[in-house]
Order: sequence, then structure tokens, then C-alpha cells
Amino acid sequence: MPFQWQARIRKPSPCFEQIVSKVRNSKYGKLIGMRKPIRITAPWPTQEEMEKNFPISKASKKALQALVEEFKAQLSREEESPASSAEPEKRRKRASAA
Amino acid sequence: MPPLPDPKSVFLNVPYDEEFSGIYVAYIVGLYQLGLVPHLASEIPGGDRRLDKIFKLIRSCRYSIHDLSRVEMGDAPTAVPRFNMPLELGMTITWQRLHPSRHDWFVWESDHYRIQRSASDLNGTDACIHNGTPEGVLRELRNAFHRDKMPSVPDMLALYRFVNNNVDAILQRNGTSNRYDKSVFKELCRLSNYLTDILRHVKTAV
Repeated sequence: MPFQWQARIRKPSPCFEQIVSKVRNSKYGKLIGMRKPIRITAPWPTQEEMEKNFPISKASKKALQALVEEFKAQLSREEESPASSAEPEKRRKRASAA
Repeated sequence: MPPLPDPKSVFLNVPYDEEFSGIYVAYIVGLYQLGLVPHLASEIPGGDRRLDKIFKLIRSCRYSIHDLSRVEMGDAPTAVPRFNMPLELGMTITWQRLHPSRHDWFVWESDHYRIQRSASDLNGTDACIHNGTPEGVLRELRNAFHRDKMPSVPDMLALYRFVNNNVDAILQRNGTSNRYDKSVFKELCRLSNYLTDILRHVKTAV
């Protein structure tokens, strides 16, 4: 029984989400300061803007580029073996059960 | 009247301490994943008075995040609470009241009831509660801001972990152990932006 309660708290039902949304948009919701998320429509930051606002040295750029390549490799490894990415989760569950 | 603020800019009003550094990285990574650009007081050049520089930065940003979770007494008997974050929040509220269409601010806390005790004048303000975890920061960023095709919290968390695991290399390269250092902040921003770009293109291609 406690497990079911926990599950409910962690994953609210769509009905709960609807109620929260209605309260947010109601006069009362606005009165108590519940605010809707701010919709961001500005374009994504470009590399030129980043270069202008956060200039870094060539050596730093090269080092960051190496990290980017590492991240790409990690992504492609995960794509290649989706089953293996589920493994750590399974291992964790097994460990917590034990 | 100053020029209009950059619609992507977010002033990050956070404590500069070691215990907070994981959450600080989560703010940077999370904001980039929503297409926003964080700014720190430490990045402003020039010899002006610190308070003047901070106010200039607040005016130039469209949004601000004020994390009050570390407004507390330290363990030392001579410790005093740190009031920089509430002070900067006060400046921001005044600026926003004078120019409502130019700025939106958010208060962040680690616990629902702390803010009622530390700053009861803010009662009625919907604070974002991050529970002192990077996951909480990312979740609350998604609650505060919305963008079409924004990533899920697990996706954001994966990117955060990658950046956080590589902070030491960035620190070493910049000859510092301070994550809030200007040069480290700049590299964290650039790395977060590069990685966000890659993830966006991967998701679009799928």
C-alpha cells in the first residue's frame, strides 16, 4: 500500500494536471501568485552571439571541441545499444531490491 | 531609458560557494537547454562600484533568477547571514515595478517554508522549489519557462552530468579551483551551448 501512494505522488494523474492548470489560470490562482510558465519565443543563441558575449581562447575552444566529440561518441554509443543503456537502471533496481 | 534587454538573457543571482556549485552548473546547463543565456555578476568587466555593475546587469537582462536557498547562518560563532542575494532581489523588484514590461523575476528556494521565515514580505510569491538538487533545478526551470520542443528532465539531466563530470578539466585549464571564476563561467556557457546545439539537431533528425 505505501508503495502505491508513493507512485501516485511521483506521477500526478492528467486530471491533477488539469486542476492545477485551471487554478493557475483562474482569478484566484493569479491572486495567490501562481504563474504560468513564461513562453520563450526568442531565437536560440547562435555561435556568433556566444563568441561575442563569451569570448574564449583558441586553446580553450580546442579543448571544448574535444569534449563535444566525446559527447557525440557517447550519444552514438547509446543509440547503437539502447538495451545496454537500460542496464544501469536494471542494475540499480536489482541493487535496491537486494 | 536604457536599450531593451536581450530577450534571452537571465541574470543569475546565486551564492558563490563550494556546496552550491553543482546547482550552479545545473542552472547554466538548464538555461541553455531552454535557449536562454545566463549572466553572472562576476563576468562584468570594469572598475565601477560592484553595486553599480550589478544594477547595470539587472537592467540589461530580461529575466532574473534569485536563489535564496543559501541565505542562512554558517557554523562559525561569528557567522552572519549572507544578504547579497536578497539585496539584489530587492533591486530587481524595484526595477521591475518601474518597468513591468522589461523584466520578470523568479525566487528560488530549497524548501517551501524557508522563504516564509526568511523573507515574509514575499508571501504570495510563487517560489520555485529545487529541493537543493540539480534535478530540482532542471524541473523548476521547465516549470518557469516554456519553449516549444523543450527537452525532458532526464535529457537535461544527462547533459548536466556530462558537463559536471568535465568541470575539473575546465578548472585545471584555467588554473583555478573556483567554478564561479569568469573564465570558467565562460567555458561552461560555451560548452553547454555547443552540447545543446548537438542535442537539438539529434532530436530534430529523429
